[in-house]
Amino acid sequence: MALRKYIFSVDHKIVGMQYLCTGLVMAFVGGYLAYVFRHQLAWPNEPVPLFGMVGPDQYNASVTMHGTIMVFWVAMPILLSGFGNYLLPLMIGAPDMAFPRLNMMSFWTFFLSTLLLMSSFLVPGGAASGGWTSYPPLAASPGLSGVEWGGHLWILAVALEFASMLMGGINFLTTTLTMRAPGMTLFRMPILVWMLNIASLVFMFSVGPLIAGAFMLLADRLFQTGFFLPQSGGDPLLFQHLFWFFGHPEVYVLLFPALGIIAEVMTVFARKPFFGYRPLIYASLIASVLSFLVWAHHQFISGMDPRLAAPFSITTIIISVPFAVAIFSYIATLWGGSIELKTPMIFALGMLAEFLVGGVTGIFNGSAAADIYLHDTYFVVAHFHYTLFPVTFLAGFAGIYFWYPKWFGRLMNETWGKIHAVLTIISFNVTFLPLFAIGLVGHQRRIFDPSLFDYLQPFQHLHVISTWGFIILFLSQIIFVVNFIASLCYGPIATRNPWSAATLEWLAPSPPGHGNFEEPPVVHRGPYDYSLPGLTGKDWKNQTEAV
Amino acid sequence: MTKQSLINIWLGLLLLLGLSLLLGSWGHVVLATSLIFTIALLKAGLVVYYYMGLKWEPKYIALIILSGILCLILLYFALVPDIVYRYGG
Amino acid sequence: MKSSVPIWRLGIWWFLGSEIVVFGGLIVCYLLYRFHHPEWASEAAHTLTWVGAVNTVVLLTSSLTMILAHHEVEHGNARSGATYLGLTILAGIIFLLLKSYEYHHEITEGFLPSRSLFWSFYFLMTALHGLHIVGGLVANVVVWSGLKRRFATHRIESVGLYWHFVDVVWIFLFPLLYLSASGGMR
Repeated sequence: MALRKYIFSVDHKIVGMQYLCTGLVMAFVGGYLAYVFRHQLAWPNEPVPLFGMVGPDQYNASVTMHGTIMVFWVAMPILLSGFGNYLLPLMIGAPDMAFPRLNMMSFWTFFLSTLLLMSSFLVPGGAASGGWTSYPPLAASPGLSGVEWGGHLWILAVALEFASMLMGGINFLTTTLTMRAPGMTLFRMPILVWMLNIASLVFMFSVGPLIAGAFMLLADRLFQTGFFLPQSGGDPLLFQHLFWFFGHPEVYVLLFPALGIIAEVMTVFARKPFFGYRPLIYASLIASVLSFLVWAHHQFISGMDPRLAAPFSITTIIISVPFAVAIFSYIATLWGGSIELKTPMIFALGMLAEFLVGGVTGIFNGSAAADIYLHDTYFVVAHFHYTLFPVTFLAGFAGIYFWYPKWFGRLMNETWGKIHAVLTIISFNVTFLPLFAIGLVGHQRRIFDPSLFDYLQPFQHLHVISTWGFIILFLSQIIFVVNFIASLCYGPIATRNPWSAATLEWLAPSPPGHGNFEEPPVVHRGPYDYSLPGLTGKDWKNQTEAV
Repeated sequence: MTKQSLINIWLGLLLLLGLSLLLGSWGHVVLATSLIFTIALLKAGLVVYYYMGLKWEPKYIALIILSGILCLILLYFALVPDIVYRYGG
Repeated sequence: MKSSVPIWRLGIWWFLGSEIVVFGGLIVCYLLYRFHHPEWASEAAHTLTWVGAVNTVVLLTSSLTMILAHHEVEHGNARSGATYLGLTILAGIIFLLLKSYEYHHEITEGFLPSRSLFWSFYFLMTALHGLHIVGGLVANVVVWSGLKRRFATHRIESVGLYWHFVDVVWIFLFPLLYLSASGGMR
């Protein structure tokens, strides 16, 4: 029975937890790989404690797998599937997902893909080492990289992971369209629900060509076809286009749920309605359309037709407009609010501030002229870590600390939570700020041993600072793990609504039972009715309270 | 839809198929090819509209299909300068 | 705005939406290369156009029997519905048999996937489509075997939607791979 209840469960809450926990475990795998190559970069050719000597092949494999794991096995499952599965039905007042069995299948497909990916470390030749973008011809011909099975497994695992995320996306969209509680109109839905659906849509329509490309790449590896090999009439550039046609929208697939999470957190801890709810939704919809028009800014120096550079520079700069609207909405939501700096709020504020740095540096990369110099340097590495780290981890932690009482019926320790938040945010900056500088002096990515380049010698200390920052960042997460596990048993018992939040999930018991609500909720108002005048005892009204 | 009209659509589909086979051996290559693909679109349209019942679905179902196709058209035209005209081909 | 589409049908439509971009992505790549390589026409001339044409007829007919099966079940005739669904399954099997005959012929003639980019596309696209046929057949058999026990209009309509979609994909693959032999599509 326990097997049926906790392992092979169709309940959206269990599925969400399974995704979240798998994602968190994989985050440690990805972090460990980062430790391996950061150590090699700071102290080249010294044995890495808890690993040993790093060879060039292992370096390539660890960089590749770090990227793959962090994007597809950490960010996607935590942000989209973990939070999405658990919270989406609760937030719209539904008893479960539209297709509970498909939901379970989605997780087990994902789990299988995880096993496939992890097994690639064990096969002869090691894991894939062609970069997380897996560009051909390197990735298309095992003879070039020396990685045979690792590459096959990489493609299979990624394709399966996409399939599982597609199943999840179909479920989100159908659930939102058909299972909303009475009165829950589209513009009464919490922002997170909107964002999860927009992300699912963007994912659904961008991933198809890359799935086709993955089949073609696999055929190149297994059946000696030449889809991406110039000597057979194929074109490696085509894969780059297919990859980034998906890869850029994917950035927003991760960003949207993160924006949703911090919107929920910020309104609660600023005790204010969200400023510009509709403009934010419209801006996100516009950005999701624009996200299909910017992909080639990843390829300015790939040898693509130079006439494409100007249009893609322009669209890239245009897409910063809707996101500027979004960021201003968040800032205006904070403006004049009674801000309470609980752990989730610290993480949410951190996410907004750090993401801003990532977004602003993106404008340099987005204009072709600057990018020709910056491309493939550590500047780009720093830029996308400033976008993806806040999105995945800062917003992710904000969400975990925020909904933990709902999930487990207990609160996490606040003091240790704050220490975790402050350490994480500071050490993150120590890790990645030096990389901007190191990139601007021309340090290329994917260099195994920087000590071989004389002009990089004066900047080696920046690598050392960055690696120390990373070690502190990695070790700080132990605080989180201990807090997470210890609070399961010793945390203070949470009421149904410990944060005085107005959205529907806080009506359900903590943790919600099977079917979520004791009686089906009926919605009468928007999701963020905080600081209402003329109330005694509380300053907010739940969505189900009559107007 | 009556049984007879479903069968009529099938007859129409077969007729269109026969037509495109005839066009395959026509000398005017450019015109023949464009006609062949117009016919393919027509056939697909018939199947989607009547057999798959798009005719009776709300408009946003068509929007799902159209958004997918729109993405593909976008991808195609953005890649023409890179792939089709590569090395001056 | 409550949706008037039943949940299961909406789910299938979303699923088909995501399938369109997968097959469509492959077709976009094929078209791009096809325009770049006009010389593929001579390669395409080696496909068995008539077998492909017969297979198109088979699939179109299977679409008809599928919609008739749905029609019958909707009007309460589970027995004749099962017959029509059985015919659809039969047509799917005939399609696969003809396709394997083609593969056999092509491979013995030396037209392997690695021979040229055209054959790479030919085999990849038809194999992916064939896998979808196999998946559709499995789904059809599951629905068919349950049809006598219970009336499930939505089950037959779900597999029907998917089966028609696979048919539509073939409607495009046939001219792309078989009828482009005449040197067209320059």
